[in-house]
Amino acid sequence: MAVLAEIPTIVKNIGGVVVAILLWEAVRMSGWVDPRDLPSFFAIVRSAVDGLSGGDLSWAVLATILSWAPGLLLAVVIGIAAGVALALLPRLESATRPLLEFLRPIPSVALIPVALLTLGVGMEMQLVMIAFASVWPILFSTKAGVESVDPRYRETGRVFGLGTASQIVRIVLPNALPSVATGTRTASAIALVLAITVEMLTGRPGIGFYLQNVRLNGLVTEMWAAILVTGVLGYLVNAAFMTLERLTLPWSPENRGH
Amino acid sequence: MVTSSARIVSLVLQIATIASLVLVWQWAALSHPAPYLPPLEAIARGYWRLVQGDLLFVAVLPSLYRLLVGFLAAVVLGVIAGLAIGYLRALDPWVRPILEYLRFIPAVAILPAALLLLGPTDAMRIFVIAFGSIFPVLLAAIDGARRVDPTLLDVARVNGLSTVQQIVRVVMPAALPSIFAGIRIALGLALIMMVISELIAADDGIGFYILRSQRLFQTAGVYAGVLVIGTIGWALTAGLLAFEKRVLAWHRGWRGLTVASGNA
Repeated sequence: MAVLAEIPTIVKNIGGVVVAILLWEAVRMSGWVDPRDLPSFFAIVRSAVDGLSGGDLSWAVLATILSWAPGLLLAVVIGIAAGVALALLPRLESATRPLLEFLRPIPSVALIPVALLTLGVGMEMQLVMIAFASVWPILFSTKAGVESVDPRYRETGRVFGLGTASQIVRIVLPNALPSVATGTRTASAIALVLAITVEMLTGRPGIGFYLQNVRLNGLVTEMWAAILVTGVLGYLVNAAFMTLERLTLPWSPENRGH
Repeated sequence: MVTSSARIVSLVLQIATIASLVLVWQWAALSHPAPYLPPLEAIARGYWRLVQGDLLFVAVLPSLYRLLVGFLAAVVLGVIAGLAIGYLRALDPWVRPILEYLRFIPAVAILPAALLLLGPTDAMRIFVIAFGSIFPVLLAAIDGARRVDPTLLDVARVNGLSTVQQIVRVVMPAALPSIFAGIRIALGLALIMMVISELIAADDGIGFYILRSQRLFQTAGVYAGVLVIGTIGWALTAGLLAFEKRVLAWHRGWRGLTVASGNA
């Protein structure tokens, strides 16, 4: 154990990944599963690189991002506006509470068939589903962020003659932003799941449709490559939001420790 | 702080909201008949068939069975692995990159691979549900186990507890509040994965029933199915919170925790 403790962390990190790859190859060779269903890790990586450098996979990833981003943006705008309104208008909050409590336990994916009924198959339906699913974490974290703003800050603003609108823009929102950012990061992952699910179900272009397509055509290596790339996309989306928070919100409690 | 008159006003507002929504829906359904706007009594009949009638056994119970098995598997495996990784700190740098990668895979993307390896079986759906919900539990358990007061562990060691005894009797109780926070998130994810696995690859279950009703334009069935899923989600969340309250009754923070989650 003493020898192991002296190995630098980065070597252990890489060692863990190497062990995982070796495990994958061992399962492949053990005969538990049909080796045709489990291509070698390097074949998958090669296929992922091929697919991304101008292949169909790169177009699928692009199509998913192009429906994910506007859907998430819509959720951010609606979520922040609704969250601020619910936090500052107690009457509105108590009037809409039964509706929100009713909608909240329904998993958004269950509403895809409802959206198919009312909006049909198309870009509009995909955007609405992505926005609907990802608006909740943004709305509730905005509301919590606004509610946690020290009332003395707003009173100070009032003393200095700020109107309600400039109080919201200059005092409430900057204080609530770290909480909004955390909610948006959660929402970005949900939006990705919804985008891919809608693509799988309705055949809209994107990673979900691509995955279904390669699976049904027996292109096993391409399927695993697409899953590998989807994981990287999910990781990068989260990392991008974390970096954005660090750069733009230096006053966030999460960033003060550094 | 809340006076009784304010409470009455908010109650009146809430009842007015519900009543006006119900009335608008019913008025619209009767005056502008459209396939996507079935009258309320048709939805109520569909709901009743699902919770009470013939559809209970082909739609609701298969879903519930897969949901509970997958969710419980995620909780048990997540807690065991998380406590081990959190307690044996030397293990962390070895598994961290893999965990950080796996947790960000959008769980739907796993579905085609699960279909390929396991076929359209219950085992496949249970696996997808467990995969989709294990990471919040696992990470919460790691986090909770790391924050155990070292003095408690020293006391346990001095009293001659073995590693397994230390984990079960000291680390796990101390990590439980954190673990429950993870389990609450996991429940929501398990429900999402249950529905997705049934929308894309199933021939029974509530998700399949909703999608089939939509394809047959039996729209009351679609709305009734969504309501049943909402009921399941609501009931399981309430049950989990009650269980948590019982298990964590000794923990000072539980009251604050449950209030926070109620607003979140």
